[in-house]
Amino acid sequence: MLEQLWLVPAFPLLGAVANLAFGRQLGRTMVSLIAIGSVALSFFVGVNAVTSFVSLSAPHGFQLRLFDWISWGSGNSAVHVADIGLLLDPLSSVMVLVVSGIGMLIHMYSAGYMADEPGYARYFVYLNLFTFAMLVLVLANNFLLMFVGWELVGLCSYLLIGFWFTRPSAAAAGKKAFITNRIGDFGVLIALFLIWVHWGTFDFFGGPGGASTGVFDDPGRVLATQSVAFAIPMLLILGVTGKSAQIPLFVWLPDAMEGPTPVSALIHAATMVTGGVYLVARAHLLYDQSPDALLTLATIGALTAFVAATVAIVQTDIKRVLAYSTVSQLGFMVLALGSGAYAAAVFHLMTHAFFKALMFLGAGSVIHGLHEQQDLRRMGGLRRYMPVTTWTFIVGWLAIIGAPGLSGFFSKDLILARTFARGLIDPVYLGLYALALLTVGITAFYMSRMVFLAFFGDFRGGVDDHGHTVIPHESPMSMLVPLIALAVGSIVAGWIGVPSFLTGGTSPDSPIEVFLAPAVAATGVWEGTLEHLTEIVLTGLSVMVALVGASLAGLLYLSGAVNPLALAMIFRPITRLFEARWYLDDFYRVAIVGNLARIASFLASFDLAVIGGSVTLVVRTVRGAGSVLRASQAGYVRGYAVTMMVGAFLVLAASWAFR
Amino acid sequence: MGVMLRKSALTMFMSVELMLNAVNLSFVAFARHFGRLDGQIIVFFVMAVAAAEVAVGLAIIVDIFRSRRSVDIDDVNWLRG
Repeated sequence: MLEQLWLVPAFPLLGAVANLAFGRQLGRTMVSLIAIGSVALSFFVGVNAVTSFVSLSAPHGFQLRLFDWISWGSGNSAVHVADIGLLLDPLSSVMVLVVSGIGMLIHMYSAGYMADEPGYARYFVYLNLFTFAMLVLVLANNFLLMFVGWELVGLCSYLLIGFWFTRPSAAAAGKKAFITNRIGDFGVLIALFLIWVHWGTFDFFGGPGGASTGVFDDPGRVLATQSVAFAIPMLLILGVTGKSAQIPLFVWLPDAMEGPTPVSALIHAATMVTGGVYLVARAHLLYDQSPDALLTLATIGALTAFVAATVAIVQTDIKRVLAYSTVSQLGFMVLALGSGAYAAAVFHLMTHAFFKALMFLGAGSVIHGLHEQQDLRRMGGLRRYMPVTTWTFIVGWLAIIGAPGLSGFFSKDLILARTFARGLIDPVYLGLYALALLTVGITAFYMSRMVFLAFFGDFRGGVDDHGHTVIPHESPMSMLVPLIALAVGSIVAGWIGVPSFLTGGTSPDSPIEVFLAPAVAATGVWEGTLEHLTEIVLTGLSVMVALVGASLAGLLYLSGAVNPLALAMIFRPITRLFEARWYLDDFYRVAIVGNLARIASFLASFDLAVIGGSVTLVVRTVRGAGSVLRASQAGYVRGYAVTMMVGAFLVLAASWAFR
Repeated sequence: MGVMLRKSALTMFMSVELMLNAVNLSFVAFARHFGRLDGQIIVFFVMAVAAAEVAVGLAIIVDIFRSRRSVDIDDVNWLRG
């Protein structure tokens, strides 16, 4: 099945093209069948390819070079830039399954969620195109093709955030996401230039039999020039902060919630935003050489996790809570990357894809059931009206706060343990570990707050803004089936990451780490190992912290023992900081957008006055000259005759005067 | 003066012919006076060109009359700038 790997991205592309060409004629049922079917086929082929890959046991992965993409010259002077080629290794295996599997569930869910929306075919075209682009991004065998996928997912993200383009806020949010991402893409682009200059190839790995060498066959080539060895990872980090919504570029992700909820689940929680994490894991050999870049990455991750979690506490929009939670969880992944625990990051990426997609779809189900109500203050007591949504949501909640046994528990604790282990060598990481541990508590707090506000207590949204009575209702089956599937995934996905000493194994790593090791094992020697006892103590610590966070939320929002508003008043300066999102948006508005707008308006006035003015001047000159000269072209033949005669006399006079 | 003052294109045309003939006459007269031949030869050229010019000019005037139902020269101002 490995030779058919190219079908994995081809099916969604085909679906997108089909719906683009015939979507208007086909009717909604056919459109959704094509869209869901194409992704399902892609998932099916992907599963087959991965299973045959696993049985193949090729260390560096399987490469499928489809055809020559960019090259010129011939003979000895031939320059080969890039192939259209795919690479299936443990890392891309995980990504392919996550993208196509969760993508399939979300396509199914969308069929129910978007049933009454205009632009149904357009929606599925975008969604299929996104799936195609994301699969290209994770399957590409060279940097250039990966960058194509990278840009395409950004485009699809823009299109889908602005799906309801008649809403100004949605259009603005799409623009914000796109422009913010451009800043990150700029860094990636420069990094690609540097890679080309120093390696002369974009391929990750060389061809079979050492016919050519790839970047990762010889990562040490830039070590001679330390600045480049540091610059390439740092520039890629810029791309990560854009795509994976880290400080300082995370501001676009919360606004991206203007898009349809399934889009938020697929693109802005489960897949696209993990592109940055994938990029670092893919290019980890370059990071291993630069401890400074790794430390930067870890610091960014820990700070982002903390800042986003604090902001999530005070959000009232259910989707925005989840958005900040996503930013925070991505921070955890980036922290893991920065600690050199690439496998842990990819593991958390996978579990997070399950439980965050689950919670976004659950939130979508709630919003659907409440007639587009997103405000947590207008919810409450929904467990009586929407049992399936409630129970699946609770699974997601338990998974993200790290309840023992669920997926988030294993992946989050793996990250914490690896960060701590790194801290034994480099004490800075101990500080980051403490920050991450604190964030675990905050995560438990804001997640519990959301669940308690939405599903427990009494229903507070009986009358909507237009005075209509709202009776919450459970969502249709097409939306509930993906929820249940994702809930099961959120429980079991973590079991591949159970530390092996618990199951009687001898390896210090969990199965997922062993599986990923050929692709992402750190080459540096500094990844410390921990005593089992230490690991258990650390786990106990994080569970306790989470428990404290959750019980605090329970006190405030479930039992009503403490009035949250009164408490917020006491900590007014802090809550105000959180509500203002740490003033980052305001900082950008004043420092960057404001100045850019000033420069732009100056340039606009320059354009109007000087450039436009000079054109106007030319026009006026010509027109003025014409209005004078046109008198001579009156069209009266006798006038011309007189002019001719006068001219003749003048010539005669001149020839007489100058004879 | 006929060219400049008359309204009828036909009269203007006749005036032009008269001017040409007057020049011819002076050519012949001066050639006779100076006892040279080249003035008379020029006259032949002038007459040949004038004949061609008459053919073209009359054709234009006929065409103007067809399209405008008049040969008033002041009506022919389509080329006004």
